[in-house]
Amino acid sequence: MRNTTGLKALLGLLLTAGWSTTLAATISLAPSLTTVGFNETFTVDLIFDFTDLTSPAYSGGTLISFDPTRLTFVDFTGAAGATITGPFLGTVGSNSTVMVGIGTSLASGTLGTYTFQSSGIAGIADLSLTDSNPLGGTFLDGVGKVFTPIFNGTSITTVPLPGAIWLMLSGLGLFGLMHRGRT
Amino acid sequence: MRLYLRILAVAGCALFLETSFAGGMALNDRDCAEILKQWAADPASVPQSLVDGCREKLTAESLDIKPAAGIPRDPCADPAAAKSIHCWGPWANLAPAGGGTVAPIVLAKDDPDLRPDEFSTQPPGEPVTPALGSCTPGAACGFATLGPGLEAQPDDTSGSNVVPFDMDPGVDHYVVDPGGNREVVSNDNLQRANIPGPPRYEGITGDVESKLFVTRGAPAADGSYDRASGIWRHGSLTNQTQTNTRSGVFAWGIASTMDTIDGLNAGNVTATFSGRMTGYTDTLADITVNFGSQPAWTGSWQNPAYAFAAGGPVQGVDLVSDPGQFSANVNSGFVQGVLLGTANNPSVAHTVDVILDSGGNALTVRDVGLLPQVP
Repeated sequence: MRNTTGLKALLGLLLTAGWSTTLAATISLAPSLTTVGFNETFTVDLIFDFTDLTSPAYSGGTLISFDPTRLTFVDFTGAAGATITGPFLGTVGSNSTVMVGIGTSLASGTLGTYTFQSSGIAGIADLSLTDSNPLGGTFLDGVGKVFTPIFNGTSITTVPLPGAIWLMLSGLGLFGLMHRGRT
Repeated sequence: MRLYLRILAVAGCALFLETSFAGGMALNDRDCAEILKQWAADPASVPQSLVDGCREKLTAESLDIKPAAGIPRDPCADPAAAKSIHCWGPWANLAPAGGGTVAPIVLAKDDPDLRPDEFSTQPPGEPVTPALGSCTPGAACGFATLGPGLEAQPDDTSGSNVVPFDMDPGVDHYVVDPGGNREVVSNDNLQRANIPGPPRYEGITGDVESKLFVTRGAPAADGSYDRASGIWRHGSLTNQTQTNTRSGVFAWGIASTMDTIDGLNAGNVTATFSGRMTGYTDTLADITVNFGSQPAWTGSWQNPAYAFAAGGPVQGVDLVSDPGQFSANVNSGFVQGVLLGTANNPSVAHTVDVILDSGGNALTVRDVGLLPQVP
């Protein structure tokens, strides 16, 4: 039997593009603030980069998952040029989820913007981003090929309200002036 | 005296018979029957040469197998033809000369010189059995690739196959290889996912999810399809391995009725179908069907890495490949299709499973396609 390894490698290179692509495609969360105060509202953009792909007309489902004791979902607004379905709220285990279906003919840009509010618990709140389907593979390109984007979530650090900090610093500063005055 | 006459009679018969034989008189079957009968009764009364001669004569006649009426004899039986490379061994199908093809020759099934794996069981003029079974006019019919994992390559030699495919027109479930030994039965609770773009159908039961994407085909107002192609996936949610997940592509539809086919045949219609294959969308497929008294089809598949052609008869709603009509680079395999829809809106769903000779290497091509009619 002839050795077909080399041929298979060549054909894999030629034919992979016609089946499931391995070119890079990313969907990322970009928060307006990475450190927020208690009960502070902030936004998170849903950004995509499919410039490595060759068949514009992309669609798929995204799922954000977060700890509801640290963050509260407020809203999602689609960007110009994007077709949006949802948001659809749900739960996975103890986490809350927000599913948004997206469709776009652009190669890159912003698909939409989430609005969240932090809670009164200090610490790090994770926002994970995944395919909306547990089995993955909801993303299709313009010729009906499945592709799997790289999903990049983000984290938000919640600290005591900025106003409280300034109040505290102001109080410390006033105390210092008072102490200097006495001495 | 009696003993003497008896000996004389036997000797005389033996002498007569041997003389007759030695003199070249042709013994007919009756003579041989009498000789052998005499020999059976009294072996010493008949010369052994006569017995052997009759045995050889009767054995040769029993091996002279006449072909069934209408089936030609092996042309390589001609002593002159035995020197041809095409006649090295009696083959049912002669090897093609110089890249060309010859029509297959059918030998009698019970020809003892015929290799058991070479004789055809399909006498000329009789229908060819489609590799994946016939489609029923007016009923759903389709084809799919099936492979391990969620990104199964149609030509993955580690386990990809082409198999029949069935789907509920409302897409609440599907079955890959129904009744076959590779059968995959989806969950029966598929629902359309609320995602823009090509319709996606998903359903989870326990740890198993089934999915189906329709990448070609539009649902009717009630959400049902009469033809569709796309991707299917099925397997474990929590332990996704190559062994407990399966996937592939499919092409499916409601087969045309025989009234539709009869009408097209009566009108001697020529219909051309063209489009991209579902698995490898780089492959452009073209199929032309010539309806008439003997409906037939021809097709070609063009990919940046390969190209091949095929053809064959139309049997009912089935398009069946004729090995004799493959392009020279096709080593083996088959093409099968089904005519879908009505006369004013037909399509062809089909599958290819061929091994090509690509520069001395074997290239497996497995794929499905749903082709609309083109002007």
